[in-house]
Amino acid sequence: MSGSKQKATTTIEMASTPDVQIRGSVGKKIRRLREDRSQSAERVAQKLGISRVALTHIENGRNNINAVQLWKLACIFGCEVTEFFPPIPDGFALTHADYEKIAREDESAIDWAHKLFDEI
Amino acid sequence: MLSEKIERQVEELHVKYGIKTVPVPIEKVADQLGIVVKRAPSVDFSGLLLRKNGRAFIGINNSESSVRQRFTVAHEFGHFFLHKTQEAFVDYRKEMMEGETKSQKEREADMFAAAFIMPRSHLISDIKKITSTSILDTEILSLAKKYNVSRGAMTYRLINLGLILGK
Repeated sequence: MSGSKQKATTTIEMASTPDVQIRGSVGKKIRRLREDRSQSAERVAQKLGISRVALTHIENGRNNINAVQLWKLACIFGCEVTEFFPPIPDGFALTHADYEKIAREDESAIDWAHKLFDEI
Repeated sequence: MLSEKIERQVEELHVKYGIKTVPVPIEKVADQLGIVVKRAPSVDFSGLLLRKNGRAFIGINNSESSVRQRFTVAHEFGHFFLHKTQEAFVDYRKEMMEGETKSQKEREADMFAAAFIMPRSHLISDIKKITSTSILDTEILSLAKKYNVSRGAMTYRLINLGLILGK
């Protein structure tokens, strides 16, 4: 592999990682809000005017949802558009001391706690 | 009675947070409370709660069914509102061994969770609408679907409220 090609790949990966995370997070949130309302993917997709497969791709974080569809979804769910997004980072994260508090309850829960909260 | 105290407290919270419909939008309530809910699979645990600065982090095992996950979020809300002197809670998946009983706090959190996602007033009015003389399994199942809870949780709740007879 040539040096320049390798560099290009690296740039794409760096640029795409956060996008993938946000897309995944928005998708999960859509699924959760939909399931909270016991609405089928089929029905929601129909109301959005897209296929069920397209909605599944959005919920899995594979595809992006556009602003118009997001607005329509908020109408369907009766929620705020902001609810679809992960919280804007506000420094509310776990510190070592917080993990220690969990360890005091049960040391074996620490690995799970890291899996849960490390990315915040 | 303890359960009545928890029912009342939940009813006040429903008013405070504008919860008027079922299924109860627990994710929205978490956002309102500034509680961060995160999910990851686990073999041993079903949920955890950690308080911080008047807010909290809740962890949920997403290898469990979605109805179970909902109940667990509500159970952690229970710890959040009822057990304010404790900072961290770790809740386990395993069934109780014979002779083992859940701690008082765990039972309280379960009561809170049931009351929170299966509001008493809603259930009473739903049961009144059922015209047949006895409540059948199919009706319990359709209520479970409506409230987005497991059939078992709904059955247990109806028995506890005295709306159906226990077996």
